[in-house]
Amino acid sequence: MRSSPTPLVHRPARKPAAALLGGAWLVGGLGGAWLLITRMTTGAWPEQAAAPIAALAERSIGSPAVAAASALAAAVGLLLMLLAVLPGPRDGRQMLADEVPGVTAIPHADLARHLRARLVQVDGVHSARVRVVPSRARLDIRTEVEDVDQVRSEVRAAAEAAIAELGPSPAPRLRIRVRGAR
Amino acid sequence: MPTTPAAGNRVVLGTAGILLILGAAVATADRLGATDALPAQLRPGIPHRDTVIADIAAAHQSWLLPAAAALALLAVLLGALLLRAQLPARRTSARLQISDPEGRSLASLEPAVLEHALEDRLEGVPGIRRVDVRASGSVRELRLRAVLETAPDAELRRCVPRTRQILHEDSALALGTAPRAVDVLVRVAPAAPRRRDASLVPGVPGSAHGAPAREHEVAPMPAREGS
Repeated sequence: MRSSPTPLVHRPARKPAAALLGGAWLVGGLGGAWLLITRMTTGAWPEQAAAPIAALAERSIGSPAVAAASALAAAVGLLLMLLAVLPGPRDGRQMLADEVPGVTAIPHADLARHLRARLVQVDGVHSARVRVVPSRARLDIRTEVEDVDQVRSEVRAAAEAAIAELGPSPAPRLRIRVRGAR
Repeated sequence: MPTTPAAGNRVVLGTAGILLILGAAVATADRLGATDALPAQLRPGIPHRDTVIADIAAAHQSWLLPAAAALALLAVLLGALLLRAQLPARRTSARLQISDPEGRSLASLEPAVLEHALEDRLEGVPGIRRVDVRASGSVRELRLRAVLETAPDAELRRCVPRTRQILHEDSALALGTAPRAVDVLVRVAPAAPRRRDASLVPGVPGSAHGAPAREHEVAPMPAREGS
């Protein structure tokens, strides 16, 4: 499980889900072991748990409570299956390929910061918000000039130039929104 | 070098999911009467839906309690192992053994020494604020991984290839063998808050600490990174 180094760009390792499952097993196992070992050694259930266990023991397999529990188990099982099977989004992308062996990568948030630093230098841009996801980069630009189309085309040119310089793989598609002065 | 339990996590989650779905499917089939059609010898472990849980426990009392207790202890063990697997792995750093062409050992080198030397070498590269280099593997199969923190407005197309080139050439020079891989993760530092920038610009009212802008007028117009 731990023999290979992590790749620079990786998909979610499902750590929170695995930690929750491990915690549930640990707590449930400890509780179950306490109940069962007490029952085996003393011949009776622990005092605190006797009433709920007696209530559970009187239920039939076909009772609504058991049906609800199995429905819950099915839902949780389906969720765990989806977490295992769905790959999840990558957290970055490779870029700047060169002749030196190995790879260069940049996380999405850092690519967004880099693009933002370029965009705020464009004439007419008052502020820029950039969000990068695996497939696209969304640029939210605020300007105080009236010719919004001119700003948009300059922002697009600057963003395309910045992306072309880095040669990210895959290159994000640009979605640009420019809000102008009222 | 950090490692990931990603594949192991997915296998455990998938197995647990399948077991839960199977258990729920059997319970639901039993409740709906779907198991009634099965011949008796094909469903030995499936009780009838009208059976009370206490009766099942009484019928199998000889082995049910020890088996359930063993299962509970197994759950404790697996849970603890699964939780432990989520912790970051400890770095292993085997010494790098430098040998002559005949295979005789000439010297050994702690990876940390090489890492610090490379980090010092990269300090002067423009645009780079901080760098963390990790070396792993052996002299013949050296893997370098560097995490670069760059200024927001750094020329990445210049400073990143320069960094990779320095890492490749300097480690090859030091060890006599080119590294197998040089991996670089680029982190871009957040831009300085605009509010602080404004406080340094003469004539702009307000400052980061609420002091009048006049107090800062002695500062020249700064060419701050990220502004």
